Amino acid sequence: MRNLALSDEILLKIEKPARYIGNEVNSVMKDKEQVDIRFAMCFPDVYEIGMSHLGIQIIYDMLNSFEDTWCERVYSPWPDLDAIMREQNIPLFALESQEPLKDFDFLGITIQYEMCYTNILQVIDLAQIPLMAKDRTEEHPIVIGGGPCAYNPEPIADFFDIFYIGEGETQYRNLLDLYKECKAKNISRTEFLAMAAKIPGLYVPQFYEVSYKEDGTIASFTPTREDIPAKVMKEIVKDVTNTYYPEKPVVPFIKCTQDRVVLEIQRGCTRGCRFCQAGQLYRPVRERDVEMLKEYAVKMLANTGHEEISLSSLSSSDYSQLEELVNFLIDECNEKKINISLPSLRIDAFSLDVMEKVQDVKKSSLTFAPEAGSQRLRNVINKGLTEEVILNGSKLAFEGGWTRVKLYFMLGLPTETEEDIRGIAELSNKIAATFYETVPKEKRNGKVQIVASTSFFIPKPFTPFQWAPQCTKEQFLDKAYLTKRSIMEQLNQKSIKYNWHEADASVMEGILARGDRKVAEVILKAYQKGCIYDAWAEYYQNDVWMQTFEECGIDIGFYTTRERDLDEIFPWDFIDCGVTKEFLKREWLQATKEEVTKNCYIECNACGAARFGCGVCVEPRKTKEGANNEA
Amino acid sequence: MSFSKPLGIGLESNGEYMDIEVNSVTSATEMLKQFNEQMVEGIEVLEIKLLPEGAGNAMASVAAATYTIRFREGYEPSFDYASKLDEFFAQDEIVVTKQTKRSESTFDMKPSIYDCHMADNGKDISITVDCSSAGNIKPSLVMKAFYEKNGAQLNELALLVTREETYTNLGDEENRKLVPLGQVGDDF
Repeated sequence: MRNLALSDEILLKIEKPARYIGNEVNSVMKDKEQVDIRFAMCFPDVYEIGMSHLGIQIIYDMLNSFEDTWCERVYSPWPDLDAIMREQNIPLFALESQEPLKDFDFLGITIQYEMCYTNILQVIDLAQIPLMAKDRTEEHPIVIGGGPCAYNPEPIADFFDIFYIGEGETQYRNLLDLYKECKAKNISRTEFLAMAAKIPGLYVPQFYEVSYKEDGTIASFTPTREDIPAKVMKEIVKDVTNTYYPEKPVVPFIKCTQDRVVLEIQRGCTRGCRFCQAGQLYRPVRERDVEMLKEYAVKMLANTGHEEISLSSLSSSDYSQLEELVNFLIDECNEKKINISLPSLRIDAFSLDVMEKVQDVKKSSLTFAPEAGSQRLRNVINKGLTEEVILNGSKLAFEGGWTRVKLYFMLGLPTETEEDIRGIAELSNKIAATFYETVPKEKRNGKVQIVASTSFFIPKPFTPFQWAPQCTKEQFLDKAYLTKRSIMEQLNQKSIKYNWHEADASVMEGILARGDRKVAEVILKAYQKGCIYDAWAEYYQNDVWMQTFEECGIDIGFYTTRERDLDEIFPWDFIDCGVTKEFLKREWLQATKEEVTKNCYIECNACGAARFGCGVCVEPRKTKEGANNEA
Repeated sequence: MSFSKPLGIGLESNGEYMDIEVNSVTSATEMLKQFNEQMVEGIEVLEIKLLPEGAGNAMASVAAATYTIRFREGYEPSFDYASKLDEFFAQDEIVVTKQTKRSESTFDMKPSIYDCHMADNGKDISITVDCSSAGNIKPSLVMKAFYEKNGAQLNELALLVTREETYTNLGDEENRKLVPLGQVGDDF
């Protein structure tokens, strides 16, 4: 048996010890003497969350397909183990070998949401690696970050040696080759990093200098060495069919959040909702070939024994071969009693028909994401979903036996008025009314259940709303109360349940999302005061954070409520994500005029992503049903 | 697929069983090989038997289990346990308090301990206890009573417990006939 990093005494004392022992089905073991590079891949949250993430599974599979590299996994220790590790000075270890991360060549950290920033520090700290990149020496691993939050890496730039901007499949081989070469030639860490900074998509923060204007905005952002590029272009996989995808995902011993085979059918989205960061970052839309998906579905189910398969994408209904794929899966899975889950489907006759085949109608619910309560505001955010489509979809669903509808909205969107907010209640009421009109009394099995949920709008980099002011906590809460009151006034209010998000954490997320290098000091101090697991409401300490901003003399309004000038240099402007700032500016102005922009399938809006020469930008334009911006 | 009494966290076992229902079978040897090709380190399928059609859920009939209890290095009992064990087991009743989330209750554990003796090596303890869903006895509870009888306090960490076998009862309440689950069913 392998030696475990944690003694039985510790394992028996902590919650869910299976989080830390590795050895799961399909986890990759290699002989460390036979590899040149030890790579630890980290998702800075608890095991059950991290193990559910597809991106890491793709990178893990890819890196382990390289003979010279052993990629292992690591997740944030839960606070119970965190305390023990600090007390007993146990260095954080990788699950496969159970060996300390500090002896690895690379520590890769995927950064999926802003509220995990203190967990990044927790992982680096427990690994006994210096928190600040500038304090690391030849003995320490190279700490590299990637994922959506790497598109504004500035608040955490001090803690990373490298950021990988864009999709991970393309440049790791080049980086590893460079690393091996530098190691063989005894080239210093700094010089290795300087060479890495020239690999496309890689950003090495220590070689860039920021200067600020008196008002705190950025005056200039420039490389400190002549040969280092001023702009970093995102990396993208042009052919998503002939690329890395895991055939044998790791199967955890304990139940994880995403406890199923995940099949990513396409990357990107053509709909251009103006609040959505993913919709801009992953442009252009690229579909995987349906034959490849069928082959992987069969192999992955056989290799894992999972009892469910889920299709993943930003908007599954837009996948051109969806019908063929779904019918194949139904044939394949029904026989083996495997469930099929189809998130992000547009509700129409086809999807209802499919859902009826793959789900228990009585148990499942129908989901719409109108995001805003009125058509006016939906035009502002470019969410083409209309009331008519929602009510027709609901009617069809009620006829098919569904009785539960989930609705997702955002509060605090740019230009929002009280009337827009009341629209949330009115739309919920109309859906309930549709049920009572559609289903005759004798066929009803109790009331219809409408669940309306609101989150608070947080402007994100690389969206047309990156210029928009964010609401204050008080404004957010007022909006939530108004929503609640308006729902109470509805005729069918007893059929409507209303949930809203925490306002504190939304403000905090907003600061981090559009933060600059000055925020790093606050993150570090908040961590040192004990903030970790900020994404978990039960651990989030808003008072500590707010107090720390004050101590550091940083005004949170600068990052949240401030209205940005159209020509302001943003902290993330040195990144070229394909979509141009000019396009985003145009979209921002269109939004204020309440004008919609068409789906990429209908017409090209010259966003800039055509430069990549792939996906929807080069394929013959399809006129497909539903492409007229319904979502 | 159904499991017999799931093993607690931190315990070892050489005698775990599961029932599975399949569409078709080859031979036990062939299936054993197929299973073990898929197992992770530390888990091995030892034998496979064919249950008669309509045998019902054999797992529901779990009646007893045998455990070997060793002491972790540095955690051995302070008293001479090897010589005290027979005396402990010879008692007419062994009353223990069982703590649940809501309440505390006392009961006599003696009728549920079917056997208790020193293993051949003179160091380990072997016990056979009720393992049915209604009256399951944890090995640590037996040890706790043993320690207390000898004026000592049990630290549960001291115990290294291995479940050796799981039995069904082919006799009745009065005259137990404990048979390993693996002896039910046929070779194929």
